[in-house]
Amino acid sequence: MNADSGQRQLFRSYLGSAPAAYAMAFGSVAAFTVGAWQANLAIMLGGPAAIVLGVAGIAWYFADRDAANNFYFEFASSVGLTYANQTDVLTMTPLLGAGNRRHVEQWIYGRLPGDLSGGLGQFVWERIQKDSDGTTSVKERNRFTICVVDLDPSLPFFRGIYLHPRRGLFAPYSEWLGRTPVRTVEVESTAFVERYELRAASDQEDLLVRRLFAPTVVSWLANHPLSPGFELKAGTLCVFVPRPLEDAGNLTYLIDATRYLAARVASEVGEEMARPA
Amino acid sequence: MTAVYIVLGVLALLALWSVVAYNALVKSRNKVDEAWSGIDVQLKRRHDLVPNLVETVKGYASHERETLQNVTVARLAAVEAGEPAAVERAEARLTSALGGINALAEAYPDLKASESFQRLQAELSGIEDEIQAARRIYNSNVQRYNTRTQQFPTLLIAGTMSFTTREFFEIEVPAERNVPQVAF
Repeated sequence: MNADSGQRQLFRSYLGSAPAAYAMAFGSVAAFTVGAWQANLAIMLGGPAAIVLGVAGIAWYFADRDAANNFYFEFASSVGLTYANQTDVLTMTPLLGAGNRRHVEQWIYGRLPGDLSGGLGQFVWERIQKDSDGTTSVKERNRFTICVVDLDPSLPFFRGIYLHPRRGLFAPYSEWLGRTPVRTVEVESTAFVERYELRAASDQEDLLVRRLFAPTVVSWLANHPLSPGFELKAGTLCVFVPRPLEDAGNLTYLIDATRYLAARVASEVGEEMARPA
Repeated sequence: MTAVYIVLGVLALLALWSVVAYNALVKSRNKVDEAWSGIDVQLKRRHDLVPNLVETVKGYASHERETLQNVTVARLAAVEAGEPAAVERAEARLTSALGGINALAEAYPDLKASESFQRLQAELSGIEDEIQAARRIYNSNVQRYNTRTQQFPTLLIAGTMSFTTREFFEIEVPAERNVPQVAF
């Protein structure tokens, strides 16, 4: 099951609906009449065809949108979460504050597995550029799948951990850490290093990072089929995949990855809190 | 004159490639060493835990001297082992000796029910998971490094600069190797 499931049935039903039929009929007759009025054969023949294509295009757009909405709504119900079509998220981590304009589509929220409070959805962030003549244009529009959970107890211990999938030379999105003061953290696994770039806030205690990235975690991340990245800052864990995930299997995988990482962070926080001052 | 320029150009390209290949080999070898120290850290954690485990068991099964002594001797050998091959053997022996403690726990219900024993066993199990993961990372790094040293044309640099292949690390536990025979 994915965001395109049921799209064709919806398209057929929208196309066969009364408003679409009336629009096509009246539009075609009107275009034909205008063509005849102007004695233009091209408009007489092409006009009705353009009207039919236009109506079909609109029906396809709505079918695509509604199929996606239905899928996310049903997915949210199946995992016991609440569905919200669109929302904004607080810019708790650098990714959540990336670009100049951002919002989350298909937001699903509530108590995630592992008794975590948070949600997941399609995070859209855009980089907007202002030209010399004052006009603005969208230079970059990215769509990431994110899963965000609250991990308030981690706040005093984790100042900023940023694990990003390596972008490569032809990455479709630009770097978003920008002015965040960070340092690179070396990890011993070659497979991990080929996949990820690990950075930590400049005031982050190194020992905690080392403990968080224990061999089991490094090995798990280096072999995870989604290659999920994550950011942990200000008591918020944001696990992400830099592309849209639009099927139930992968979304469940992302929730599971978040639960695993959150449990690891919670375990380190627990150990740190139990340590005598 | 043109031929001289072409030869010089080819030589410059070769020199550049040699530098890049050499650096890649060094980086790869360092990753292997780094991964080995990752294993070492986890093994040390296990070694540090063993005396506590022995002391706990002593409290419940003090007359099981042989089993406890086996663990202590195996631990000492594991601590002193330096080369990967020796570490492999010593750790296999320690794992086997620790299996004896598990068997004791079955014979002494009070020991098995003891909170500190359960905590230590859980900790040991966690460390063993980390050792397995560290071993996977090490072996993966060794595989990449060995492939690099054996592939043409990098092997030309590896051969002349003494980049020797590394051994994989496997903790052999005889009990795990013996597949149970099922007879019908």
